[in-house]
Amino acid sequence: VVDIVYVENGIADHPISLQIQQRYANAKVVNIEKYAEVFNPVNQNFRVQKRNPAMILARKGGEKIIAAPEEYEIGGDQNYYFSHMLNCVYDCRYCFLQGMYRSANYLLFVNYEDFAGDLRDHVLTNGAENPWYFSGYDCDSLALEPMTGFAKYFLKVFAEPEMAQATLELRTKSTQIRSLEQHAELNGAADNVVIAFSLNPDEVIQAVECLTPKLEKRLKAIARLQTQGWRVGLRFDPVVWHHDFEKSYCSFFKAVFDHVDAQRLDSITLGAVRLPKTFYKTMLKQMPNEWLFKAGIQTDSGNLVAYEASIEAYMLNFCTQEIGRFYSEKVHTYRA
Amino acid sequence: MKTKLVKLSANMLYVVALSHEAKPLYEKLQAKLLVSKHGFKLYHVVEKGVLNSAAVLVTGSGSNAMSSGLTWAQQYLTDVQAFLNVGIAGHGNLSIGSVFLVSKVTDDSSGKCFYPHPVVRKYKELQFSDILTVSKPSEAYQINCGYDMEASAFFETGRRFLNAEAVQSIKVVSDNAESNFKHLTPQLVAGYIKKNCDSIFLYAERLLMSSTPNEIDIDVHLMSKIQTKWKVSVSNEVILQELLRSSALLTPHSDNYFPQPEDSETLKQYISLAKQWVLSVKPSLGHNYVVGKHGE
Repeated sequence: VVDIVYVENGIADHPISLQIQQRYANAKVVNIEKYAEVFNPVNQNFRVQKRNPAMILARKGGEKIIAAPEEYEIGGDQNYYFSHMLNCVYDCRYCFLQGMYRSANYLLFVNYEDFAGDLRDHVLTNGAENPWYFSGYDCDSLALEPMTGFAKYFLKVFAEPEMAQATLELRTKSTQIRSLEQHAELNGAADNVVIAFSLNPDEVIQAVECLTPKLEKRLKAIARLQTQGWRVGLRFDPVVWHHDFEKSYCSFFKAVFDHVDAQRLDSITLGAVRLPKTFYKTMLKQMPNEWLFKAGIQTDSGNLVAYEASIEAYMLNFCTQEIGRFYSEKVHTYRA
Repeated sequence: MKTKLVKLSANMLYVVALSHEAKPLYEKLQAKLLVSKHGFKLYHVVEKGVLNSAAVLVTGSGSNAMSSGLTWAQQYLTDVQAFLNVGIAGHGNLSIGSVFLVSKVTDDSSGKCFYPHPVVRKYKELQFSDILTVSKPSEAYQINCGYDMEASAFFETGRRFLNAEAVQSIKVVSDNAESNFKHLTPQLVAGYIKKNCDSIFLYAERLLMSSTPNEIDIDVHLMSKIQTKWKVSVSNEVILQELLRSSALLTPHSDNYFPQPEDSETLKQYISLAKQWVLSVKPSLGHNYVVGKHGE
């Protein structure tokens, strides 16, 4: 539910814009010229806005497909990401978006056709054998699916013959998988689409992944997708340091691999809490009482704020060992 | 000799243009006139401790008066968490006496727009409307639009002092196409506001509840002990405050475990010990804690 939908004048009549305005029929529609008027002003407080975010419907201009960081281990021979939406309906306390954006409003770019056009051109011209396109770094790819129809639209795009060499990865914590299930019922699961689920133990979810689905629901969604033949990735990132860390993650991995078919997993990645220092400072200022930013955290080394090196090494080694009991492939591990 | 002005605490500052708009507010709040100068008036009340203090500012009509009045009031007040502009407005389709929260302000002369964030989740009595700030009373009542003479200046000035979310405007419809502004009298204006005081105060309360949380209190006695034992520079004081804050967050039910000054010879040793201690805390997700090495 949102109370206000800001609509750029230029896309007021766009079909996706109209569809969303209809879904939020009780919200006040406020017309704007450019989304930057609402999203970018200085002196906004992300945390205060997060209590009641508004929706902004806008057109994304300029560059839409961006190269992924080089250290990215998973993916194809060339990796890119694109964001149809900025900000997320969930409220994960470690989320870097809080340090990156001034506004917590959901900014949805409704001109999917322009993204699709750019993706088609990109696949044709970039010369990669298997370019990989990630979605879900500036938002959750599926959480608003019933409103936005994002996955439904891009599954069709990636099903086009000229897109066969490209792979789409949708990163999510959501269990809104109806679009995927419907697609599979009609066409079978897409070979070139990976659904990457971020997972954590329930006690961690409860403590720091506010508003996200419980672990059991996510695992059930994964199992359903695997049964339909979808490629699924698991993202144990970030793992969170706490008193019962070993006990918590030990039973968590067991629960995960009780539900998930490890043999059919596309990839697993692992990482602990880490943030660019500038984002950390902004987040700390807005959430001075957040214990997550204090527990085991080292703030005075390098440009990244992360767990103190020996703590991080211990956590990642512990998790790698535990995962190894169920999964024999390489676990892609990201260290600060 | 000039005496230093003592600022008074006011969590909420109600900002109004006209005296008759202000009267129902300060009467209901039982606020007393604090100062009247340069055509501005400031009323103040402390209800129940610092967290319920409020002030009502009367600026006079028009953008210039609003802007200068709001700036003027800052010298008298501290702890202000929110500015709420309250006043009457014309409207293209809302009925007289209804209340709305401003969702967009356009300044008629400059074309500048402001978009107050809907901080308070919508509740039954609350509705939104856009508003046009005009320099003269207007009889052009367009559908879905409110009219006033101060809101754009209020937002432009208010956002210089507080986060954008803490600057909001709530209006009571006083005139529309069926009954234009020419019928308005001071008594009518006061009556419209008075009738809606409960809605206005309810919104103000929710707005205050949504403001940024204060930082957790640190152990000031321990800080004072440290400062008694060693000469603490400003930069070290910042580091120590941060460490004490971490301690308060990670071990909320105890004050016994953080290293004591007597554990160290020098301040440098002490800070190093305190840093090690903070790193060694493994917080329980239920906020209990254990001090020890990881892996144990």
